[in-house]
Order: sequence, then C-alpha cells, then structure tokens
Amino acid sequence: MCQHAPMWFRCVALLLLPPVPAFADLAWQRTSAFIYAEPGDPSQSVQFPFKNTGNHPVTIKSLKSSCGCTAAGLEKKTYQPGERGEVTARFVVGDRKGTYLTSITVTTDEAGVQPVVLQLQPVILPLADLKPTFVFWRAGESHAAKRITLEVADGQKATEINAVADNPAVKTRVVPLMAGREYAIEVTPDPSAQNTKATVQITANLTPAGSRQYKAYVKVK
Amino acid sequence: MKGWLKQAALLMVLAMLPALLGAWLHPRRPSWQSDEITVTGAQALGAKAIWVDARPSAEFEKAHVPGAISLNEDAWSELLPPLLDVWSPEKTVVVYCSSLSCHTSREVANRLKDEAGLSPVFVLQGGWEAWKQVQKGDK
Repeated sequence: MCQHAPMWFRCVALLLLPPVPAFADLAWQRTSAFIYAEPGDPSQSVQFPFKNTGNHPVTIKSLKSSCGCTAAGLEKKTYQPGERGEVTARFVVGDRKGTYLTSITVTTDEAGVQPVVLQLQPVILPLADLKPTFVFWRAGESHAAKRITLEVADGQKATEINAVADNPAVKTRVVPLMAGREYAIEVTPDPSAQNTKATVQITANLTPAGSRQYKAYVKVK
Repeated sequence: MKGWLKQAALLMVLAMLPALLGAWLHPRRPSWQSDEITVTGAQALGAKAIWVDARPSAEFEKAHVPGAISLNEDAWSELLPPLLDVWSPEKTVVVYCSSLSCHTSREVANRLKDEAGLSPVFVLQGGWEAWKQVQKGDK
C-alpha cells in the first residue's frame, strides 16, 4: 500500500515521524537517590556512577543544580571509552525539614543527546517537633501562659524534657500531655514584662536517638 | 433523554456533597485566598512590609531588596530571631527567592506560617528577578 502512496504523501509522512534521540554513550548506574537526614545534620553526599560505553571520549560540559541547596561535582570532565566516573551531589541539610526534590542536569558534548537529569530526594524528618516556635504577647494583652507543644516522632520515646528561658522575666513549665510522646511547654512572662524577648532552650532526652535540643522564641510588647 | 439528564444531574449533586463537606471540614484544606503578591502590591505596603530574602546568604550579600532580612533553611534557627525582633501583628511578611521557578520562598513562607505562626505571609510573584525588573522600569 505504501508503494502506491504519492510522493508528496511520503514526504509529509517522513516529516511527521518523531525525532529519534541519539544514543547516549554514558550509561548511568542510577539516576535517582534518596537521602534520609535529621535537621541540623551535616551535609550529605550521594554518588551517581556512570560508564562511557561508547567508542569515543565523552566530555561533561556542565552540571546544573536546580537548587542552591545542592552542589554537584566531578573528578574530571573527559572520560575515555570504557572509563568509569561519578557525579557527586552534596546536599546541604542545614535546618531544612520535610521532603525535597532537587535535580542535577548533566550536559555532555555528544551531538543530539538530551541532557541527563539526576534526581535527589532528601527526606529530612525531625525526631521531635515543636509548635509553635514563637509566642507573642501584644501590648496590653494579659500575660497568661501560652503553650508550645513538643511532639516526639514515631519510634522515639522522650524520657526527660527541660525548658529554660534565657531571660528571668519569662518563666517556663513542662506539662506532660502523653507520657513519652507529647509535652506542653507553658511560657509565662512576668506581669510587669514589657518590650522583652527570650529564647527558650528545650532539651529532650530521646530513646533511642539520645539528647536533642530545640529552640522557641518569646516576645512581649 | 430527559430522564438521562436528570440521573446525570443527580449523580453530580451526590458526588459534590462529600467533596463540599471535605472542603469545608478538612483540617488541612487549601486556602481559598492566594498567598502570592505582586511587586507593586508589596511596594504599596510601604513600611508595613517586612521583606524576607529566602535566597542563599551569599546571594543576599551580593544584593537584596533594601531593608530585607535574610532567612533561608541553611541556617534557619540562626536567621529567624532577627526577623522575629522586627515582626509585629501589624506587619506583612513578603518572602522572595530568585525567580518564578524557585520554590524556596514558598518553603520559607510555609514554615513562617506553620511553625512560627506568623500572619499574613506572602510570596513575591517572580521573586528577586521581578523586583529588579520593576526597579528598571521605574528608572
């Protein structure tokens, strides 16, 4: 049937064919990786190994990170046929919390080859969560106690909680809500306190993780 | 034909009921109000606005919106207190990052709302790039 199609039809059909990308010489052992961390942990590094499976040297022209929190590095730029290498992704955990998705786009000098996107999925879960981390009294507002809740993550048990304010005009008291799991830190400014602030340092002894410290902030207008 | 239409309408109403209940009662329902603000909208806030720069500290050091406070997740606990010092309920927090494609301003804004309980907190549409464009246009 195709033999009987007019020439113009064959030309149009040829133009409509989807472009076939060139075959990439770099074969990646993996293109995605998870990182599990706790807020405050040091930076975490992950390697993405690859091998040049082609017959020509391949030069990695650029590594572009999608986020300032991830830095990407290479030992060298050009890889000979059969040579192995790896891209190292370094994720700055800092005080981050939650689940993130960052990527590194790898562009090589191979003609017609699409850049490879390496995905990094950091999961940063605190072992205990403080909410709210800030309590505020307006001018003229009664200095009644306000509560900050400390909730311990699954798999952990709190054995001792201490809360200390760095300003004597602010008093703190720890109230167990659910032993080992949930506590309220009651914060009360002195009745005469005005235009004052404090940082409350909360120490939680967690089993099995060990001692952890958290901060909450107090402001009285 | 009419019976078919009636049945379709009835099914739609029945399907909408639990959806409406969910939207009304769900503890984590999304807000109906936009949490984004334009550069001109933020500038109109004048002294009421607290500008928060969510970009990495090195970029903040190079240039930032005049009066902005640096707050990013690299050093959240160190950078948060200066913001709380200047915050009061009358103020509006405007968070920005590099451009339309960055997400850090939204992450910082969400943490300010969820963890510190600040309100209102807006995300600047287009971020630092949009702010620079508006400044160019004003000159």
